[in-house]
Formats: sequence, structure tokens, C-alpha cells
Amino acid sequence: MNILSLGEDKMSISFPDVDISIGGLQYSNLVFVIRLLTYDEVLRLLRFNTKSGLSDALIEEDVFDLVFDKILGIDEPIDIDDIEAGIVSTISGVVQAESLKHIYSTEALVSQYENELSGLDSIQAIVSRYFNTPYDEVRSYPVNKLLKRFALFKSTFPAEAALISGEKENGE
Amino acid sequence: MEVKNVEGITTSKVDPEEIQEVQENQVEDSISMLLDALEGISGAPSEADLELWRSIHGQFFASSILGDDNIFIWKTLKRNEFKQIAGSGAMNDQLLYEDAVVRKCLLWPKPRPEWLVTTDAGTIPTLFKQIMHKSGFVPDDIAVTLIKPI
Repeated sequence: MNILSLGEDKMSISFPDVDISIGGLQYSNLVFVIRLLTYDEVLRLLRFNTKSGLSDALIEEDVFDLVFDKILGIDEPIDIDDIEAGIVSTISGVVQAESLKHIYSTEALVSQYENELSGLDSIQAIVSRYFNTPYDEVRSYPVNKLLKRFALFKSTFPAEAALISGEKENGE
Repeated sequence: MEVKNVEGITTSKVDPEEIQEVQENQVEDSISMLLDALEGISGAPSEADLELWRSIHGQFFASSILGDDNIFIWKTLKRNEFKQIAGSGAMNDQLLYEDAVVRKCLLWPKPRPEWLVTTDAGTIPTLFKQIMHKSGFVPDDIAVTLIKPI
């Protein structure tokens, strides 16, 4: 696994004060690579109204199974039953909380993500649109290829480029 | 290659053999320190007991409450034990939950029924918190600060 190509959907969580047992060894400061839930997964989760501790524990594990990707630096598969009990609970809980935040605070988070965008993000979107290429594919382009495509767009469609540029200036 | 400037994450490979060697040295030091602390206490675990617990549980912890001479030796709660407790219904009552976790994890003194009812009232809730903390249960407000976009 390469951390530089994990993709924009991934997040990390670490447990700075907990040694975690995997395969009979104790590891400290492990970094878990996870993702948040999809909208459909959140909706399904909200339909469950569990009343028992065991059901809650099983749902925690289902959420963990869905969102867990890797532990950085560890190739060995992890045995959920044999790791410290709170790892699954904490990861599942924080993923549910963060996912729900995205459902209930949509406007604020869209605004936050908007503020984090750079010019290169916009260039990726423009190249995706004008070269009829899926956005995720464009995001995987090396930066030289991205900028060459953008330059080709600008010189081939100067009117559209001027229009986009004008829209951006008016929008600012 | 090691990347150090991406959200504090490193991609360096973990070598299990190297970790095992370091951990074995650390454990030997910890066990001898613990034996020193337990010296003179009646019924205290022997070196063989500590080595046995180490081989069974991988790691265990020693703690005291209010820094006094009472030492408690315990291990972390594993997921399968957590589910057993959840399945027993003990989680519906905080006192039962604390008792169940301490019974599963306390190695010394042995959590016999008479000990559970005669020990100081705050001992079990405090041990419960120590065990849960080292078992990876992180309060929600702290947990959200641990999650980072990559």
C-alpha cells in the first residue's frame, strides 16, 4: 500500500495511548486507514434501533468491516476478536458520528470543502468536463499531463476558457 | 522510504521480529520492576506467574489507585470478551458492567466474589476506567480529534 495514493475518500485514526495486540505482538501508535459511510449506509444504519448491548456490538463490527481498509505498515490480517475491545467500538463510533455530521451539517461542510479547493482542483474538474473523462480518472493524472490537457483546452477553446475565467472572477 | 510530513503518518514497514526482540527486553525489565514493587506482599504473584500471564495475554498492566501501596495487575479487554459481556446483558447496568469487566481482566488480586463485595467502593469503577482506557475505548469528544483526512 502506498500512502500517497490512498485516495481522497480515506481518513486515518490512531490511538496514541493504546498498545494494540496483533498476532501476539503489541504495536503502539498504529494508524488505521478508514473511510466514512456512504449516504445509503448511513440511512440503513439509522433504521436500526437496537436495545441490547450485543446488537450494538455486532453493528459496531459491521460498521468496522465496511469502513476499515488497512493498518499502515502491517500486512498481517487482524483478528477482530483478539484485539483490544475498544478499537472497533471507537472506530465505529467516530465513523458514525463523522458520517452523520456530513448528513446533518451539509451546508457548512460544503462551504468548508469549497474553501479548501485550490486552482488545481478546478483545473481537474475542467479537464474532466472538456475531455469527457471521469473525474476520478483525471485526479490520477500526473500534474504535467493535467496541465498539458488544460493548456490544450485553453488554446483550442479560448472562448470557453475566457468564459470560465470570467465566471470565476465574477464569482469571487 | 519513510514519509514524515503527511499528517504525522509514516509508511515505514514494521518488522515483527525486531518488535518482538525489543518487547522481550522491555518485558524483562518491567517484570523485574514489578517483582521489586510486590516484594514482601503476602500472596503476591511470583516471577513464574508473571511470565505465564505474559505468555497467555501478551501484555498486562500494573496500576494503583491514589498512588498507594495496593497494586492491581490486569490485562486489556479483548473484543470476544466484550461481546460475551454484551451478550450477558450486564451492559444494561453500569455496576454489573464494571464488575464483569474487572472480573474478566483483573489478574491479581484474584477477583473472587468475596473480593468484589469487600473491596473499597471506588476500586472497581477506577479499575474499570483504567482497563477500558488501555483497551482502546476513547471518549467521543477525544475520538473525533484523532480522525484525520489523508
